[in-house]
Amino acid sequence: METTGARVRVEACGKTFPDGTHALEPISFEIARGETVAMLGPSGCGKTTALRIIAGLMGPDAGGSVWFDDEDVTSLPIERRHVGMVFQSYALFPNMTVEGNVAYGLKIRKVPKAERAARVGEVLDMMHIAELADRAIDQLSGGQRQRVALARALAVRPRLLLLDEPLTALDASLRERLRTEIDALLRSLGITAVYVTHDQSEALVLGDRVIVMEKGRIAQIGTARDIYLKPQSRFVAEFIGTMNRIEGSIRTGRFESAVGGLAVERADANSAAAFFRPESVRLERPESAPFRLTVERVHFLGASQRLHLRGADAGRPIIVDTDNRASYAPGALVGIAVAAEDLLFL
Amino acid sequence: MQRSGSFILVAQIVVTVLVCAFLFVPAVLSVSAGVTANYFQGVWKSGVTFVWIGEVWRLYADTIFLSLEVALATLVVTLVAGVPAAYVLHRHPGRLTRALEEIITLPLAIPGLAIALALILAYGTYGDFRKSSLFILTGHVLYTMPFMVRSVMAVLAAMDAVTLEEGAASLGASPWQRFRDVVLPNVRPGILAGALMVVTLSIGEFNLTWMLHTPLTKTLPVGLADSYASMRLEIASAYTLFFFVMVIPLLVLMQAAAMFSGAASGSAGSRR
Repeated sequence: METTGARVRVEACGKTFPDGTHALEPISFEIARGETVAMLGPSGCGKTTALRIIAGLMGPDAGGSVWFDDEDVTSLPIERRHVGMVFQSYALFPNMTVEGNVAYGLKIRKVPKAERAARVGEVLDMMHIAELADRAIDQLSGGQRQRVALARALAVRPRLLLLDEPLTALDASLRERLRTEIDALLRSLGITAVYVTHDQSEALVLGDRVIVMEKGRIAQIGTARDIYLKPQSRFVAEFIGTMNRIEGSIRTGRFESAVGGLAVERADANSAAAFFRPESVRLERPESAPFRLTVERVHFLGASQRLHLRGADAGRPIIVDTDNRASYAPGALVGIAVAAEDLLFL
Repeated sequence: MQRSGSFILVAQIVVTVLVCAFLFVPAVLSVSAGVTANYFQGVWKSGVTFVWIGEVWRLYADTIFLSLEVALATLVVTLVAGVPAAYVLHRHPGRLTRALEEIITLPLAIPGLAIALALILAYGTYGDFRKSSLFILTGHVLYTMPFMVRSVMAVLAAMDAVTLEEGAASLGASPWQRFRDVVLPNVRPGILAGALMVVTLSIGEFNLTWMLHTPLTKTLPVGLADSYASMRLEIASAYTLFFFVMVIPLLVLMQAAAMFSGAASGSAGSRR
């Protein structure tokens, strides 16, 4: 089944609600043909507003525009944009069967009956729900509804697929399985897609690129690898994955903190913070290590162990993932070191 | 243990039967009076007769027909105006629509007599209007509209009509197609429940109608009051019989509809 994806361009789209709240500051970005972009952020960051503007469920403030390929679709309502959308609550029609739901978009487009049946069958097969065709919506499980919602959105062969937190309502194991399936589906269809989520693992797995949003602004756009390894702000650093932070200052080429210091090639700053991931920490002997901390808790996880370390201050513990060989006792003093390329100052 | 359990059960049944009897006896007496030749001699002595029913038909058939006409007209108006109103109120939540909803609901809190008085003060001087049954219809629409609007709005909210419509729109449906294919079919239980409520209330309405009626525009309940005041007890009772026959099927239907829409909204709940 071939689908043709559009290139999407969002230009200076902001949104101010009638009560004066700025849900979205003017943002701009492009999505390449066939690319999946994940919009990630905490609730209230503007990601759903951005999605609704791209979908045509909402217009941007004056000055903003949305382009599909070279067509300005800003003033087109959603029903004329030829997109497919999967809603968080699925929005399946309870008055129609599964087949009726999936066929609805084709019926609206006046696709002849025989072709309609063939295309509905094709999509139901693709989503592995052919046996549910005659079921009523209220007889379906959450996962089945999710599949029907996707099938319904794909049946019209949209030029852009929009997914608004599609897995949020499902339990964890089902979420993971469907995440893998959606990934395979998006890749095999080559359709342009925007995937809104507050779940970072969904965003990292599904997004060719991830747009991290904060308070109505784009905090960072990049591949999953960029976002995780090279965060450009404290917000992105701490929002994605587990991130350790040691507060201190930089003076004459040395970073100094309450738990130790090391030489850095950076300009002086009265307050600076060193950021690093639990997995990039090397445990060393305290005498020779740049940072010295006390073991607070040890979680032995089988293949690895996770240590919670604490310095002099009462802040968040420093989390360290290490192999399962050495054993650490709470209360012991340990030294930690982080390779220069894994250490970020933000 | 088991003995005290069965004692409680028996006691519950006895109490229930007594309470039911207390409530049912007046209705049974009233109905039996309508078919008793002479109520003061009793049904056993004087015998069963349908004379009074025939008499009621001769004297009051027009009030029965007027009640049915007014009820149906009220239904039509509340459907045509109330269903779209409920839809608009649901689609555009805001201060203005909330105020409108309150205003629509207001007649529930105001005594029917006061509404009738207001109508008479405002429109009583328009003779043709005042004398026609349209005047009564106006009162009934005011009084029953909130029941239609509220029951449709409740179903719209339960089914999350806004999101369903967005779903249909994303598939290419125009506003009219969305309303026809998705909103209307799913809101049907609300419309049905509202419609039965409106018809039942309109047929039984007395307060307003008593103030608004003229000698030529009497509805069934107004006629009933009239017969209680000036006719034999048997005629008044036979008249009540007519009222029962008209209203009880509606009440039964209303129960059935409530059960049906309860089941529907129950499944809507499990969807979340």
